[in-house]
Amino acid sequence: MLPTESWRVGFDERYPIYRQIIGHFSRALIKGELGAGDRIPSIREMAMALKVNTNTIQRAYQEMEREELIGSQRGKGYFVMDNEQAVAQVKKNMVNETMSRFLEEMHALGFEDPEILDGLQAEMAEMTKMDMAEAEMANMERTKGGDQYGAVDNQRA
Amino acid sequence: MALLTIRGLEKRYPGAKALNGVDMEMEAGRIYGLLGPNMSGKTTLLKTIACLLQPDAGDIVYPREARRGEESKKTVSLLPDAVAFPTWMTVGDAFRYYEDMYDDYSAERADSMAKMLEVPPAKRINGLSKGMQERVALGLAFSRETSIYLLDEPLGGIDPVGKMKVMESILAMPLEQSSILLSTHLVKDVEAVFDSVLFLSAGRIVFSGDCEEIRESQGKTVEQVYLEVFANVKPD
Repeated sequence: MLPTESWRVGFDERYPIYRQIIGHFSRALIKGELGAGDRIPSIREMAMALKVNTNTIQRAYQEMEREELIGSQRGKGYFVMDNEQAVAQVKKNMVNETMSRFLEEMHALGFEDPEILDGLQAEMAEMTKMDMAEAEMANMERTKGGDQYGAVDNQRA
Repeated sequence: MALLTIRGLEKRYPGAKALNGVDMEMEAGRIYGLLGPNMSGKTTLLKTIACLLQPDAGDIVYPREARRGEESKKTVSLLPDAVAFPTWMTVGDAFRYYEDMYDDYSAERADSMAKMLEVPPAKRINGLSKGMQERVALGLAFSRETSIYLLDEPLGGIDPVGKMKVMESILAMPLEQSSILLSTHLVKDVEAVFDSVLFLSAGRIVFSGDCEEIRESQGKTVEQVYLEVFANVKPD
């Protein structure tokens, strides 16, 4: 099941909606939520789920067919193609877009490339530290949980 | 070829000009939003297309028969701005009434629409909420297999759940050979349903365009464009 409800509420109507739909599909493909052979909803089902015009959905599907991300078979509807190369391309495009958006924003704020690089490294180190702390907390919770069960077992004994 | 062509349409009421030279075209397979503030002429335009009002000037070219009058009524299904059938009827009676009235009534279409809109067949219409009455009226309008569906404010006075159901059933309509013209003064939340929009101001179309094209070229929502256009329109 695709998270169409969260797609629906997340549309930004300042931008073409068919592109946002392709973006949602692309992320699902990259993350592996959608895999080769998976069936995807018909144009009308998708239109009704997203509350979006059927011609808009059709345009998104046509575009994805052209990129060989999805295919269609008469009577069987649309499905995800087995095309690692196409998914890799989509991933590459998405990484490029995200990176250039980030860099544009930083340049607009007046940062120079070396500063950005230093800032990124510092931020990454910070995030790693936070992730490790989080993992440790989770680990402690688990151990505590184990003790509780242990206590129950002791009582029974 | 256009499904419907309107040229220089005028309609005068005593002391007022409701339509002041409307030019527009509709193609098959599309959902059009007719947007404009109250009193801009939306209801008059829909009623004139539906042949309930006689225009004072201009032309409407209908699909196939391409002539006005009794015949053209067969190509137009109108959801009126006010409930247009006896309200002591039950919902089921209203559907049967429609079946008797219209040759293009499709029982299959009516059933699927009634299910989708979750209308209660055994209840009397006058005992239903305004929003539910609106859903019944929409189900009736969609139970006919025809070329042009005119929906006058189907989203007015309706609760959020009802609004979702109405949008769903509009999107469920098979529109290969037909089109929908939906009037509303609420643009937000529904603009993704439209293929194109037509802005009506003081009886004239002052702006029209494809919604995705507007987003692509202007980087704005249709609502933003609407607010800009109507901020610059001087009331007559």
